[in-house]
Amino acid sequence: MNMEVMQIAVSEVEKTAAEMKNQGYRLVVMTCTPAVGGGFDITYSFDKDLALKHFRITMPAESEIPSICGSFAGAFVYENEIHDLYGFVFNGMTIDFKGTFIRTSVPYPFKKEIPEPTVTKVKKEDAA
Amino acid sequence: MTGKRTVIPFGPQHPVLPEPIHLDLVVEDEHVVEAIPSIGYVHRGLESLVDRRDYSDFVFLAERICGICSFTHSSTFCQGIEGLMGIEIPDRARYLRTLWGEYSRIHSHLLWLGLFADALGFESLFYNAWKIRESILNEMEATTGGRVIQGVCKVGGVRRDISNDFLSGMDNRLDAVEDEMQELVKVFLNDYTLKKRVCGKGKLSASDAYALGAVGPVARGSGVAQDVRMTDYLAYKDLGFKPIIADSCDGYGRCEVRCKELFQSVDLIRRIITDIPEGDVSVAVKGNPDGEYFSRSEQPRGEVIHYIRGNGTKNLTQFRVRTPTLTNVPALVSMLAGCELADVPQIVLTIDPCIGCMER
Amino acid sequence: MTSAAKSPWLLHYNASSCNGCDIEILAALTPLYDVERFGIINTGNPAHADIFVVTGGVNEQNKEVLKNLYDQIPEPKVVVAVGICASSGGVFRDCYNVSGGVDTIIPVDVYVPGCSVRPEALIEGVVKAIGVLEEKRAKMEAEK
Repeated sequence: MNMEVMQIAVSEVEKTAAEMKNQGYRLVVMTCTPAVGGGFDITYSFDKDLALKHFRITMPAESEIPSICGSFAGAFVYENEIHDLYGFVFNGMTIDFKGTFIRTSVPYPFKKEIPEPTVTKVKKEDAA
Repeated sequence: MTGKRTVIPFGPQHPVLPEPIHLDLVVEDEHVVEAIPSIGYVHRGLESLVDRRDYSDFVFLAERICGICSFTHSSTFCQGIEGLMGIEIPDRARYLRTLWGEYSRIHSHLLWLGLFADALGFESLFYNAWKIRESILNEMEATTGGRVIQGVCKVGGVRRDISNDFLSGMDNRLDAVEDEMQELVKVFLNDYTLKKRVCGKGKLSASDAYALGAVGPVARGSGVAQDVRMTDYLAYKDLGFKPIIADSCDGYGRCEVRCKELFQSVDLIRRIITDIPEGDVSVAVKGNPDGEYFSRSEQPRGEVIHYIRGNGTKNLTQFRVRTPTLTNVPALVSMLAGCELADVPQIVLTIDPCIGCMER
Repeated sequence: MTSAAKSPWLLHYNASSCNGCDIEILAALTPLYDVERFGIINTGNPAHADIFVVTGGVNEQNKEVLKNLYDQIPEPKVVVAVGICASSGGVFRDCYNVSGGVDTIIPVDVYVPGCSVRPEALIEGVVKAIGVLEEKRAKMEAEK
């Protein structure tokens, strides 16, 4: 567990990105994962002199999120990918592929909440 | 004759591309105004398999994210799981992982140099680079059993040890490889025709490289000293590491960085062989990963991120990979704007695109 | 017209492979294995090709590309599925985006196993493909 994550509100995303940019940070990655209590976590990871900082927003599926392309022009690859795989909508991307960045056979293949573990435990009385 | 714009589709199947990527090139006469990439030809969706394979089996899948950087993918994944479970791997395993990682860097850079020479129409140089690469692959095969997919990394350490006798043999054989590489690199860095094709092409300033999030030789070729090997993972802490940078900020700079890294890797391997501690190469692993981990390491193409989240069961709940090529795409788009149509293939190649990695 | 069998030209396409097999195909062309001594040339143009070498488990976006390329290769043609992914989907067969083998899209004549494939196995596969090519050619002549 080497991640210290700061939870922020979706309204603070653009402001936080601009702050990071001003402090000379580099956008490392945007990661989208199902959140423990339902919905999805989107984690923004920044790096400066090899030290990482993570910010996280938790969003219900299919919601709209402001793009951070204004501060980090390279963010469009992550935002398009998250749009294509999870179905989130990003407002204000510099290059918007409109769902054609990664074409998949299943629409939004990762848009599912945390899956049930597939390991099934056999109860003792059944085993006999 | 200005103002008339044409869109030229480039790829996915193109003679210069070993892998499918598609670019829409908006051109005005011979000048590229804008390049819009579209990917997805190699997207398999392997990250979705984490809930069907347990974490120790998933190492094999992680290795197959890409056949060129295979070893680094498996070691980064293992590093993540070990970080989550608090496993301290034996020192010898740490050194061996570093050794194989550096060998795969040499193999990957030689592969790239060959493909690059081929893209410039210099076929004999391509063959020469790949001939040298075979001696690196021979060492890989002798020590792991596989040429490009090794399957030697596991959670808790590595599967095979290399005897000290064999290690010193590897050291001796590196002399010949180093001489051959010197000859090869001389051509890449000094040949008139090659320089004519790459110098000043695909410009990327240091500030753009940093702002667009470029990593690996793309960033270092633009003078940005960014290398995850400076973070002391694996054995790099003991070995001490200084990144190689070039400041010409163009295709030549990226080529120069990769050429010099060949010899840097040879030096690292030599030091590993001298310093490698005795002992076991793996520890027993008990339990399941729980929590989240952000594992990163330096691939031949740059920084790779494996994000891992587990919930105490055998299957991870989430696994996301961010590969260097994906984050170099915005830099590529910026390099291509303003270039000439005939230079597009070689500029695309200077970022060393690994599409298999990029799309998983 | 036995020249095709003596000097078959290859078209290689990566249909969502991990690259491992692709770099081994290229390695087979370089000095150590040197398949060019058999007259084999790796071409980028489907209209020049006799043997279609495909790697990878074929994903959604590649289906059309693969069909197109196959249609553009003149008869007689032979398809070689290189690597376990191209043969059956391999480790990726459970992925949502993988169709599970080249033969789900186009007919395959020769399967080359391995993950990744070894250059020696690949050469063996291509030599087998030359035999199939010759058979197909003879059949075409007879039907004329």
